[in-house]
Amino acid sequence: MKAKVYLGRTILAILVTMVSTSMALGHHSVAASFDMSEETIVSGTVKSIEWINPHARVFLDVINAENEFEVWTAWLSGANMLLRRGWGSSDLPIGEPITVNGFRARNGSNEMYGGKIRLLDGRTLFSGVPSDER
Amino acid sequence: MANYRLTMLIGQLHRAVTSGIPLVVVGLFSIQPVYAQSSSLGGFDDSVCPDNAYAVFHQCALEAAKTADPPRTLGGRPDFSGNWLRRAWAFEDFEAHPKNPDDFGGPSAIVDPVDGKYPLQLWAIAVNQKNIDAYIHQNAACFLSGPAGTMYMTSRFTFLQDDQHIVMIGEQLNPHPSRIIPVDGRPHIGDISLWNGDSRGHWDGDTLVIESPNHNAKYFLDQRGRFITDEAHIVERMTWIDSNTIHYSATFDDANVFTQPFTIAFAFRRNTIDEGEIWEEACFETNGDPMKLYRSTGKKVFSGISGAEARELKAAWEASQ
Repeated sequence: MKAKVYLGRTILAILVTMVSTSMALGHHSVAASFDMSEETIVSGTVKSIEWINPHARVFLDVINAENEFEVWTAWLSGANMLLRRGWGSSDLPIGEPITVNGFRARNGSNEMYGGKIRLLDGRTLFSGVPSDER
Repeated sequence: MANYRLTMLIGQLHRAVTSGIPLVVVGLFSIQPVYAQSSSLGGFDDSVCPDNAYAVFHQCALEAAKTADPPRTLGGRPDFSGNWLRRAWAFEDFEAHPKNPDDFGGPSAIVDPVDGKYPLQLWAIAVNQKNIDAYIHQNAACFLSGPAGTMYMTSRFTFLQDDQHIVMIGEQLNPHPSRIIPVDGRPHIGDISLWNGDSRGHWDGDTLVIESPNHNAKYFLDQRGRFITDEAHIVERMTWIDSNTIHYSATFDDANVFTQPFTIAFAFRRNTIDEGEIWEEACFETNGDPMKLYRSTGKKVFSGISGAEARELKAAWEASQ
């Protein structure tokens, strides 16, 4: 699986070796609107979050590889699922640098389905269905 | 403002790079997906039928039911009350399918026919592919999945029961998956078309049998675009196996679409991982921004194929052969 990377150039070289993200999100296919043949990796800072059901969203301020400013949206599971996975809305404070692994919208917009978010302190937050609810 | 934000952003990214992210990244790659598939799909040692693999569980449960001694309602019927987790990946694909980024994967949920294959008529194969190409799944638009689909689309359930009703409350997409099924012998509603059909339950010994005519069939059966018509006969069966296990099966009979009836089966396991509370998970129809994304792909929400339409499609297909 190829990976597209949108982030500051300095850490680009590190992330191109990324393995595929496991999503398997549940009751409807993600692939209908997100291209899951190619992984997308976005690094930026948390602009805002919507901690709601059926899908939460994280908005990121991003500088792309051309040094242009962009806002990206990462779609996640719903707040219920995230809470049961150990997430809390305060885990993603505004301004927090994060890296999101996921799959870009088929319409080419700066939106992605985020499967995995890495925080600056090293924690990795998984989206998707908790393993004990498979 | 934009420059300020950009400056702040650059500073934050610089801080990220200089404060350890490379080390974090190396560690991250060693984390394995939590959805690794075992051959048993995760068994339950505290059940007389611990294996969740559909065919294995189904055969075990049929035997176990012969000696099961369920708790009973005041009226003497098996009592399914409690908090349950369904154990099934049928919502992805009825047939055996591999794990990939969009699917948990797993064996076929079809226990009859025993080859686990979906008994689709030839004319319907092309329609099935068209469904995949042209339509999005009903749950993406917060619509329901039919009486049986409701039971395998949602993971968490609370069942409540008395001698007149069984109430099934599901969490995902709620309150829509909630089913209130009379079991007191009253007739079906009749002249109506409902997403989850006009469900009525009756008892076949200690097995609860639910029949749901008058469903609108405007839903895929799974994420592979599989469908039935509004003339399909759907029969669900629930049998108490032990204090932690319910054997669930659903038989679909639709002469418009299938070469023979087929049956899926899986386990409901008692929820012992937490208190089992069902939370609000509102899913509002055409939930705004997600629907914009779906529509941007050119796909529409599946509107169903009636029995009459199916016969026309079949005749046209046969004429083209």
